[in-house]
Amino acid sequence: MTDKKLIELFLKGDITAFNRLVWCWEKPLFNFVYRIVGNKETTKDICQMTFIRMFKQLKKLRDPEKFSSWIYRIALNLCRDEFKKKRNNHIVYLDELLSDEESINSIGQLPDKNSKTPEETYHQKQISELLKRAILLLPEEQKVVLIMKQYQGLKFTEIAEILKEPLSTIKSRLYYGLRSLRKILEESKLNEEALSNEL
Amino acid sequence: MNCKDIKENLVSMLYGELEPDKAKQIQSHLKTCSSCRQTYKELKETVKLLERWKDENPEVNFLFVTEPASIWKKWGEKIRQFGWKTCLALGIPMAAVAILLFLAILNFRIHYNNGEWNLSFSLIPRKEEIDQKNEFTKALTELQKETLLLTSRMIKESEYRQKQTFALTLSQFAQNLEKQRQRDLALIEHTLQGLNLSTEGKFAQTNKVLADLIYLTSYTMEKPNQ
Repeated sequence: MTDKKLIELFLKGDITAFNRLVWCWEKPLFNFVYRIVGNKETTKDICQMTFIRMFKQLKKLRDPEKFSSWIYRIALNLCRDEFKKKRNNHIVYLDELLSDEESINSIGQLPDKNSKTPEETYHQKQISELLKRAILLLPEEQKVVLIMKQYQGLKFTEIAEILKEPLSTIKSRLYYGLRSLRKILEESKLNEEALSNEL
Repeated sequence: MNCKDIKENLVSMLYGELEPDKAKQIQSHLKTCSSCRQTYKELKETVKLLERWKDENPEVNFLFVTEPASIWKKWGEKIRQFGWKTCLALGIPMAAVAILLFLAILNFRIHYNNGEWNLSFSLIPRKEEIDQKNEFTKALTELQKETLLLTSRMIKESEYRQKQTFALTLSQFAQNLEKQRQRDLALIEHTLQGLNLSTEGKFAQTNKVLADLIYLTSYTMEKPNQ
């Protein structure tokens, strides 16, 4: 069932339709927020607040076709609020206690790609962790566009609509984001051999 | 197309969002420009590396909005979920089993015989059980009647005895009272007689003293005249 249909059912009073909508969106939204904030507990809180806001304000959504843009915008605004709160209160997440230098240097220790299953799991986790730390170092505007395009699979026009920015700006941010990421990975002593092994 | 304008088109091409005509132009530019070619290669490598960060499961139930739905609504939803045919195919046998079990529980029996436990239940109570129950009820009723009769007799007997005892006690009391009265009268009579005798004696003495006194007085009065 499509989002539009579920929204229509919910607006008619079917609560289960709302639950289905949450079930459909919890994974993409969780991963989107997690890649932006980089902390699971905060991600859970933000997702929860997003769904609460969705429950309260869904009636105000004029065009159900634009639901995905709408929900991403809510989540993104909550992420920005979280950043502000974090900046004002000088909050440091536990998993950020590892210094940037350490975290970036650890990127160079990429394990062998052709490892066996338990090792592969560890390897996968390590790669994810390294990429997470590298992406978190990007400027927010580049990071958001990169995540939306790379991981949420949104079209450039959709991203432009969510962020209310011109299409060229979005593409430019993505270009510079990818370039910066490459630079971060290179500066982190990630040797070319390891990278080429990954690629 | 110059190298400065190409960056936007490179990312579009990277994600397959470039029109075919423009893609051809970019391709031809990349063939001639080694710098842009290198940039595109690096971008492609970075994107491929980013793909290694897979999505994670949230492992949390974010929100579960429930409404106080009525039982009928819930059943209605379940019927809609499973379909009428499935519900009937499962529901009828389950309902039948439930009814049979309910009836069976009414005649549920646990027996203990020579160290063995026996568990049994039946839909209809056994004939000997019914007869036994009827006989027991009859015997119990008769016993109750007899007990009632005996109790009423005992009460009557007790009342009669109580009356007799009371009458006897009352007559004995009256006799005693009469005897006491006779004794009291005799005592009073005797006392009065004693008192009478004593008074008469004292009267005689007084008369004698008075006579002596009168005589003495008259004698005394006559003597000066002489």
